[in-house]
Amino acid sequence: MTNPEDLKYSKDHEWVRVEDGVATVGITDYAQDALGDIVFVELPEVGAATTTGETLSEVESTKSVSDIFAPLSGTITEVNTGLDDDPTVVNSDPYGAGWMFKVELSDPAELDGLMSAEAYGAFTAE
Amino acid sequence: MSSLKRTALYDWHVDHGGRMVDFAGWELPVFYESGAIEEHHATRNSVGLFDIDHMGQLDVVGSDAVDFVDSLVTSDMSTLDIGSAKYGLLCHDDGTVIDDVIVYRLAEEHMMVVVNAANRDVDRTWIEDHTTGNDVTVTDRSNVLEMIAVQGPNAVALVDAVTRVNVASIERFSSASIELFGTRALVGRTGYTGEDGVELYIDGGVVDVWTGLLAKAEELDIAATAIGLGARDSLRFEPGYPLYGHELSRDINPFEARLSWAVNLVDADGRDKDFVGADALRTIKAEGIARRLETLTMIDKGVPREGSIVIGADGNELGPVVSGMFAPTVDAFACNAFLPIGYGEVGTTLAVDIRGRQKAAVITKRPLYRR
Repeated sequence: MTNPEDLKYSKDHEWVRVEDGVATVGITDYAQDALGDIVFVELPEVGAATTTGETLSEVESTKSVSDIFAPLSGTITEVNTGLDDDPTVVNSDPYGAGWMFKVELSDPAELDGLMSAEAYGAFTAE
Repeated sequence: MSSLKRTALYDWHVDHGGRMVDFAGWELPVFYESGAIEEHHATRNSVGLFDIDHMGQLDVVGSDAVDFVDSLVTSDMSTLDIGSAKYGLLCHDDGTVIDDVIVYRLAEEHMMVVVNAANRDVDRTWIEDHTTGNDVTVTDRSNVLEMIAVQGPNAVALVDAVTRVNVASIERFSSASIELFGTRALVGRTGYTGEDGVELYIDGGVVDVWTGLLAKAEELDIAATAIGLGARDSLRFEPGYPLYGHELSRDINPFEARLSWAVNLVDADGRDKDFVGADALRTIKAEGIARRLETLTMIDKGVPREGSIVIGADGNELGPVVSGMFAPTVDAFACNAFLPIGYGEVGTTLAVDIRGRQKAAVITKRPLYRR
């Protein structure tokens, strides 16, 4: 498994890509592999306020349901509605088409609390 | 994890990417590399191989073997031919279900009761506790016999190709003794997937049989896939087969679970059949049941997992979901729940509360899938 160098990672196995103060969020390759076949993603509401660490949505695999936590505080600006029709892209393309939602950051300093690709790689190897 | 039991195929599962989980005290694969959905389709389309060695086998031998098993099981064993098998239920005095079992009559005075892994010890104790006055010996062969299932439209052809016995000529719910890959096995034309296929009871050598079947399939250009517990569950769910602890339990009677076909209150000669729980079941049948197993298909997307609650039009709680999942062949999220009689009409729209979100679902004709 390779984790893209340009992303930040949370201990809850989410990745974050920040562009112009907006973070795109998904789950990592490690997470999708652990979950198995993804059958449904319960997406958050556009416009919802997020606080780091709160439960934002859920991802359902054949095996289990897992909470998606807000990795950063802010406001949801967009959700990946394409997952309604084909949630399996979370398995096949977790860092691309499998993205889940975008957050307009209220406190960009929170990014410092996330891990680099290298640190996340070490975290998942534990 | 160290206290979990392992089957002889444990190393094979791990070597082939099996995600091992605890199932009724056994360490078994929930799925392999390709995932549960692909495994599900692989079984419906060709052949799936299932390690089900966690299931138990209890031998009942003696001059009273048939009558004794008949006195404990809801279905009529008195007419079971040698070599044939029958589905039935072990019930308590109150008519609730201890386990669902497959009973084979292997010889004139030899019955084999195949039981669920989770209930092995309970079933054995229950059966042994009732032997008084009967000429029977009960032997637990679970640790000796190995068990796998070969299921799917090409399953019989595959097994047929590795043994001299004409497996295709074995009727449904019948069996034969065969030799394959140098080991003896009982092959039963049974299964738990809604597909044609067999279950094999092997006297040692299961790894040779398993790998031999996969190699033979490759040689014959038959797609054969190892199947984990995840797909085993969705494969049994679609054709409407009960899973103990879900559609059956100590809190559920067979009529509620729609298993009246497996309850013979009258035997082949028209006499009342006497078995443990029969009197209670006669009363329940006469008085009628208050709830019944229904299958719902989700209109709104979401996985109605076990423990979700079915909600009526007026907002009242109708009953808990006992099994719920994504059903790959019918391509729908669906669940089973026990609903009060009167709510069960096919086409009725209800809601399922999935962790606080109410989602629309419709009562659907059972079974969701039939081959």
